[in-house]
Amino acid sequence: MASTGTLLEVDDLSIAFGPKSVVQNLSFSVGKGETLAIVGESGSGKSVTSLATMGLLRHVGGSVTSGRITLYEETGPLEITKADDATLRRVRGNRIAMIFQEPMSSLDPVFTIGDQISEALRLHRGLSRKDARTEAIRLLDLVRMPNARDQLGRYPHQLSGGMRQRVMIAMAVSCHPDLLIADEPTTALDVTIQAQILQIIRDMQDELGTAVIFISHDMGVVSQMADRVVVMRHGKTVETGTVRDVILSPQAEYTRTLMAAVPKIGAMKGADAPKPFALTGEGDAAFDHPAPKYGDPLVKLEGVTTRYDLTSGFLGRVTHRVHAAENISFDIVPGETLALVGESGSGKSTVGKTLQQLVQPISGRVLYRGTDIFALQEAERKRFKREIQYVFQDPYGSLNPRRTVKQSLTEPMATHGLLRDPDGQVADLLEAVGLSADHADRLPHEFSGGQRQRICIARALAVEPGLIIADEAVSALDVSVQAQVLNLMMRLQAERGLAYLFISHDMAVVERVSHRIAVMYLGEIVEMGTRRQIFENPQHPYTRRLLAAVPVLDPETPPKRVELGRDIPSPVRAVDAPLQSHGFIEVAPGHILADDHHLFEKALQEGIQA
Amino acid sequence: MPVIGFIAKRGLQALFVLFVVTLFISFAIRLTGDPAVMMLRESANVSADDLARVREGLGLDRPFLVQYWDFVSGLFTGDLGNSFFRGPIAPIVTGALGATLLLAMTSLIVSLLISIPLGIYAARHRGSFGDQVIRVLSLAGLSFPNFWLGIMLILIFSVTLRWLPASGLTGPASLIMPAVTIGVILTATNLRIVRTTMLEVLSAQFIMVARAKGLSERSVIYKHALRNSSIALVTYLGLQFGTLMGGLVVVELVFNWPGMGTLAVEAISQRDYPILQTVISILAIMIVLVNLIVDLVYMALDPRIRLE
Repeated sequence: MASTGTLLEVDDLSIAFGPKSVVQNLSFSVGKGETLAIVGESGSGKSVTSLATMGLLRHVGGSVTSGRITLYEETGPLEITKADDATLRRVRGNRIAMIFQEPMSSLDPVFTIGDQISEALRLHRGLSRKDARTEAIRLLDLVRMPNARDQLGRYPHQLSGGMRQRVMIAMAVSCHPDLLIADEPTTALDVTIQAQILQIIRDMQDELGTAVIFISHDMGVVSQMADRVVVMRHGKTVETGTVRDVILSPQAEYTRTLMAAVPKIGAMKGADAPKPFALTGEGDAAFDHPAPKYGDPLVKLEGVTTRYDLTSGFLGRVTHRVHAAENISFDIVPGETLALVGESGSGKSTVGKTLQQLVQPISGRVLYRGTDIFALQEAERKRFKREIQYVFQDPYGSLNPRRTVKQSLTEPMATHGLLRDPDGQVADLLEAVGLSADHADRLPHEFSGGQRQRICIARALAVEPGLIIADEAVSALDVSVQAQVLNLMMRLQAERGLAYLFISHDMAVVERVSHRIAVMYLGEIVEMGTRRQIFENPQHPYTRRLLAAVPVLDPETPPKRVELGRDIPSPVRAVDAPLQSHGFIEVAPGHILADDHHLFEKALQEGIQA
Repeated sequence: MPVIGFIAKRGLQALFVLFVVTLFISFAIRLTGDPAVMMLRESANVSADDLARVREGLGLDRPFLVQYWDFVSGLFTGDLGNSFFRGPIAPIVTGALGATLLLAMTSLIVSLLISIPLGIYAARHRGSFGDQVIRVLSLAGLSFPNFWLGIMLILIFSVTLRWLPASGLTGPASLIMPAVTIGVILTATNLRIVRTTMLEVLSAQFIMVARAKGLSERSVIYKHALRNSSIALVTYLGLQFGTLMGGLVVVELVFNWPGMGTLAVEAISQRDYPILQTVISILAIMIVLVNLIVDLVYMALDPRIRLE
């Protein structure tokens, strides 16, 4: 990018929350039109730095303890760290704008999106109500919002996450800012939507010449967006350099560790078995992963269909149904990992919940070692609740904050009559997941996210299950912690012959851990095969689309252009809508494909025009 | 039309509630004693015939359901009939309702005018000295029994200082003490609600987004934050309305305020069924109506509910 002078300079910046220092002696600069990525894991101080740049630090209780942030405007340099409130208000939203992480909570729920975009336009550009409206339509067109004019009167809750993030971007660029700060703008989005949002940000940049500070934990995204990178850890700069240098030949030890923990799509080409990450400080990483024996399946699903009723009207009649899972059939053998991949609303979690008997399927059979679970009486089913365990996404919400680790671990054992020697069993479990026995009497808040997820895994192991359903179990974790937890899961599988149903939206992680993969789209499996079949020879257009959307960790490959204006369709259908279910064709042994795959692209095109 | 469907649904629910409440009142009230006996108690030598004649005169000899129907249809036509002792009910109840509403609305408005700004201040300066003072005062306000507060006010401002009239509705000055008594309790609770919901809304990300747009703190607070936190406040006020009415009865008695509460207590001591059942039914109708209005305001404030 053309860099004709410095736009923003951060010099020796230190930030503290009361006595707690969160950023120390940070220095970097952003040139005009340049993209600088700030990379780091949770607690690295990257988001706090962006708030400081906006002069918004005091609203979260922080303060700049030393150093300067200077914005070079046409009229001369402005020191943000010393500016008064009126000056900052003129700069905010006008010269420096910001996109936040959570599109779901970034927009005020009680105002229309038209009102919210107009607000900044009327404030900074002094437009009349009518002109602001016209300009808002133009901006929504610019971010490829379908039917921009009709969207103005809608409220945030009527829009999907991707569409809300477009509104945020339209709002942020409304006054042609010199600098756009994007704080994890795609972290909460599905991968195909992420690709679109990244494309829109790049387009904005080309069109308006805006400089961008891109804050992210995702190295793949960074390698596609940034010119230069600052790596932060615990509030300090670890490494600074061009994106090429930092990603291809990282200098600092921490950056190298971080890079080793990043799952890279395509890295497993030719390998049959899952492979642990080579992390420093984990001597046992290179264990043998025994191949599962494809004999009698542990779990077998036959035509499982789960729908949720939606009622409306005066009498609460069922008018629509969420077709959450349609005609799902697959099996898992002991020691195998089957990954269920798909985006929001694809029904992958519903399948997991059905297996766990949390929802009742309306048809189909679930067989566990040959026994049809749902044909049994309630009392007999309890056994299968033990056999099939669950690890959830949110390690903060899935442990009772008032119970010690030991209490959390012994409860399921007592329920299922497996408690023989509480202290010994708890110690064994904690050791198995890489914690130590003296963690037993602590409470969940004393642990980090990764440690909590280990405790959740220990809790699942406590009742000696055959199958563990891991529903986005590593999605909320930092990348280095994610790699450790994945290694742990693979090791436990090798040692105990566990089977996993690994539910995830992250293709790179899935490639690393799974034996076989089922791709779900709108409640149906559209393609299923071994990991190599799916990754090396994807057949369904949706699978290809999903794989293409994953940001490639290679700064030398320019990102492919993606089609904009697409949203993930809804699995809600009217009760009287004709049922369309597809059959399968076998592409290769074990590799099946929906027989209506050729209709997919056409349906998508029609969806865009509608 | 979801809105019309919603109103129809809630309207039907309200009618059902009123049916149950009026039926219960009419029935329960007749379990408390015979008004004919009450009326003739003073005179000696009351014969069974005398009692029967009085009952016939009051219409109490008719079957219960006939009496009930008479009463309920009267509620809708406005023909509320006669009191046992005081002539036509309609003007009596209308006067009392007016006095009660005057008192309730004055206290409510005053309390909102105080609690909203103070609540916002407390939320914005959480943990500051001002916040602590506000919290202690609101706790103190909650801890006063309202009748006691009323009596203290009378002792100070009427008996000792002789500034304000001690009882009755005699002019604007007579409104001050009853309104303050009710208002203190209302303000104390409203203040807590405003502070809590404000704290929650202020930590929401869209507030930071509004600031990042360059809006002034005044716009951020009074446009974005207040509108969002008012949703919870309105819900709370609706729920609180019943309690407010209950509190009013006691405070009206303390100040001898000629409102619904005083009227109800008089009617109870005289076994004046017609007045009592009318008063209680009207209070019930008001509570149901207020909650219906709250739901509608709620819909106006929150598009997520409007567009469900």
